[in-house]
Amino acid sequence: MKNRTSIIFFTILIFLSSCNERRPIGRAADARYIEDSSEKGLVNLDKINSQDFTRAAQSLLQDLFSTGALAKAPNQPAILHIGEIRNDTQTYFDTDLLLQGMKRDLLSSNRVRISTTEGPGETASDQYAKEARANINSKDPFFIKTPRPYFSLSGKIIEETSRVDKVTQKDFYFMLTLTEIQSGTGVWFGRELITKQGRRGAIGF
Amino acid sequence: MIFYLRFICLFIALVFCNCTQTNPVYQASKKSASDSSLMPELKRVFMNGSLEKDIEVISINQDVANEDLLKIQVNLKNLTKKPLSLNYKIEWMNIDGLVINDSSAVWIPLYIRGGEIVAVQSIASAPNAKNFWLKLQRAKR
Repeated sequence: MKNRTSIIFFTILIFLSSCNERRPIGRAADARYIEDSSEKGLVNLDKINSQDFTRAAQSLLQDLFSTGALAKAPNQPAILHIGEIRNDTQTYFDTDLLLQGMKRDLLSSNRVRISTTEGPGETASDQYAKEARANINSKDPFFIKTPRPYFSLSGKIIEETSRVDKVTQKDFYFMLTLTEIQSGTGVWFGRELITKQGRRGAIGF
Repeated sequence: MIFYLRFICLFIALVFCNCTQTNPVYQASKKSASDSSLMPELKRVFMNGSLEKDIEVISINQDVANEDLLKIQVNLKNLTKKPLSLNYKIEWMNIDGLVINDSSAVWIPLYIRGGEIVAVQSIASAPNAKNFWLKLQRAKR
């Protein structure tokens, strides 16, 4: 009997410590690092996860590049002003989670330069740079006004919820508009939809 | 004695059930980074696993978007009658094979119905991107 008990105990020990993926229930001390936008990241129904931001940014950028709208500016690289991106979802997040990766890729495309000293409502993403620039300009008698932004990027993120029985579907719409400032017309309207459906959150996808 | 035999069978089954959840990645890229033809030659890397029997990279088309950005289209075919849930990721590389760190390196879900051919498109974010890795993996569910 004692022998059997020890064998069963040994089996359970081997089973628990074997190479299966981590499960959320009944396991302690399983914190680990995962890579950026990994397929092993959490999938929440009620919020936008990091992989959703990256995916939305990537799809929107690819759509923007495929239209060739940025290449139509007369002076290359054109100055791009980042306007307001409104968060119309039920959760708070900083819209830079979407924009920062986009800015990096836009710069590396060599088609635009991004203004960090101008922003919506007189706010700048780099206030020090804005003040320093104003200071330099006021002291320079031969001050030549630098080119104004040629494009402006703005948009909003919308959340829609649908339920059938116990299944919830969340639709997150990422909608961006690129406006040519001189003509005041939109030259690109990007829309990326990220839909998640299920009963509850999951680990990995 | 029978108890022990049953126990050993159960033990082996449990261990194997836990260890067989491997999910290898199938990869494809251009054979030569400098190949600028519309349908470049493919280089495939197969890992051990069932994915290579289920999916085929038929061809790759390439073009230029935004005047200087490489655009690719990978045509995939589901060789089975059942739908496949996959994740794919495209990593861009320069002419020397160095990976460019951009936002395209994200796993994206892809659903292919039985026997269906789908086209996966991507545009590089940098003009120096000349080659790519397409990585395919079976989705969790």
